[in-house]
Amino acid sequence: MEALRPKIYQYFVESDIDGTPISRAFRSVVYQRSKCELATVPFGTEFDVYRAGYEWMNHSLAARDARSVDHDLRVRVGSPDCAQPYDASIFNISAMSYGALSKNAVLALNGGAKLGNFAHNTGEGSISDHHLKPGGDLIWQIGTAYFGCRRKDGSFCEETFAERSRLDSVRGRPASPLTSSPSTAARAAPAPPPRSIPTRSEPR
Amino acid sequence: MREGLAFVIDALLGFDMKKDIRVIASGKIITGFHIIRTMALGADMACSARAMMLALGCIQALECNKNTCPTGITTQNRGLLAGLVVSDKRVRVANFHKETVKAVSELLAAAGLEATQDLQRRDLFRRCSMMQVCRYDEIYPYPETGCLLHDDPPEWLQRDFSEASSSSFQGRV
Repeated sequence: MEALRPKIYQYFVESDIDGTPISRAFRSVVYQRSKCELATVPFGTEFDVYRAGYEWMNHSLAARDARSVDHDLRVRVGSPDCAQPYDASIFNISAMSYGALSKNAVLALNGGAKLGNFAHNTGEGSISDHHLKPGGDLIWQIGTAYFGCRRKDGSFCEETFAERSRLDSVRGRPASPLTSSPSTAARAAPAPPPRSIPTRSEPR
Repeated sequence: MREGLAFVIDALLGFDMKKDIRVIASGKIITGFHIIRTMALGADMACSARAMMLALGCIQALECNKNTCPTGITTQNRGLLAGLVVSDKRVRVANFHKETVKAVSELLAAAGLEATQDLQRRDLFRRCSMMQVCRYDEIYPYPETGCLLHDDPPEWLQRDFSEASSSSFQGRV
């Protein structure tokens, strides 16, 4: 019975708006949008708009015709001096490592990024062949450099970093909050060992 | 994520570096409004992990930590991952992305704006109690651009600013 509880709860007990981590109402929006099905709800919102914490944006009296607003919103990444600036989509795939995700999941995510012309963050598991095969843009997550651009002694490997950065797919290289930025890391010799900066002690 | 994002933006504005740095926000971003909210706070781009998993067919079975994901997303079990058909699901991911960005465009249009760069904290509202609605720039006020360069932090940045050093955010004063 213990094993059945989550399923019974999800399918029969929980309401559209109280499921966690992601409620049914939000899951449905994703399913509907991913299948290009009707994603609107009838007869007004299910949410209690008088609950403390409810958030919204106001409608303008001078609203625009939605058709006049660009439907492929993008942001330029790279200063005027940058040799290869990147016009990133405002919405991209966040960091999930290969290993945590299956081969097919990574292939499908990167394939989606290729079809929709947006970017796919590799996660700390770094760049696998499955990230490169579909040809979608990549944001290479260096993280603690444990995977991807690390020497055997645990320090940052400038050579691998330079080599992998030159891959056509790689458009961005964020570092995780636990490490210094790639540009700083590339200059620092030797790079600090992973997790040299004290992490917060309180639960997160 | 929202407090952290506001802090990052405030610090960048305080050092007058926001103009040179793009900020990407991630954390339970599922709908167009969620993207609008991070951009009103000051982010330039948004990323989503779990919503993309849902687009891949995740049913929130909550088994990501057991290698038994029934949808083949978070498992290395060959039999299970074979159930995820790449040619179908990549289209779902692309559709979800396109429809969500379109939802952002529609929200911008309704607010009379043209691009996400036009969004500001004053564009959002939060109900703080039955009696009160707060505008986002009251909850997360903007610091004066460059204020940290001449040692003049606003009240809500004072403690962090005084404790931080180039090697630590938790320096001992």
